[in-house]
Amino acid sequence: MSEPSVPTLLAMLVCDQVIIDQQTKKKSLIGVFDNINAIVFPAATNCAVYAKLADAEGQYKFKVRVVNLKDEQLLGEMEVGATVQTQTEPVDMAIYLMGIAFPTPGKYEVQLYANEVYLGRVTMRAIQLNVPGIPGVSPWQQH
Amino acid sequence: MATALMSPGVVGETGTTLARSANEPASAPSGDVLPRQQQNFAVIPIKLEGSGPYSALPTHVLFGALRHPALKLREPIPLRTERSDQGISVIWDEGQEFGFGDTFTDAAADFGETIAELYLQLCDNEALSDDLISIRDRLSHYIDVRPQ
Repeated sequence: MSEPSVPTLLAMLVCDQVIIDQQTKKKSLIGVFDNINAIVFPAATNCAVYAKLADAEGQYKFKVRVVNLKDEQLLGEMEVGATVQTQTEPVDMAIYLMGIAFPTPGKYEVQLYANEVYLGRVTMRAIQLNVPGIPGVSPWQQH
Repeated sequence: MATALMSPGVVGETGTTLARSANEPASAPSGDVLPRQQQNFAVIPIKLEGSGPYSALPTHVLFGALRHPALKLREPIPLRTERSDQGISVIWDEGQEFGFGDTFTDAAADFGETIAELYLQLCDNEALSDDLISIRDRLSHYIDVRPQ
């Protein structure tokens, strides 16, 4: 069997949720975001990663890595196998990452690999919210 | 422990919509109820063995992130990485080209732009030195023009 082709990453987005209609296979991306606001760190959140690929055909082991860009530290990594039948049509994928902990404010990245080939990334920023009053307590908890 | 959920089929076909005839007047949704939806995700643990910290910077990486509308990769380009005080470099030893950036992915993006520009320039130019012909031939091993 020939080597799988190198997929081209057409789009990669982080959002709250990807809803997949079972009849039409349409994906609805809910709450696309770049920034994660948190009052205290480390902060944990759930998110969904949507990726659309072209030129893919064959068997792949897709790898998603969450990386802290400050020091290139790996926060988490997951792998999943998939077979793509035809190269003529694009394919897409949705992955839910649950409980990823962001240690400090700063820039983070979700990176996508296919068979150890780096395909692309989506960058996001974790931001410390400064709440006047009691440190580490949100305004809605102060009442 | 962090986990990931994959939708069934993992990588699937893209969505399809049903268009009305252009002659048909636009109308409000008919009120049809969507079919029952499923939620049968595969749960995959997110790996981090031991207690860390772990560097996400690979010493060697296969590059597949060429982002150019006219070009595609025949096969991934093997790169090695180097970290310095100024930033991170990804180096293609065979072609003596490199990319540089604050992070590995910035360096990879820089490398992608560099080789795409170089390949197109070398393909457009007939009068090339032997060195440049050699680089073009090496690039052609990895890069192809996307059919229109």
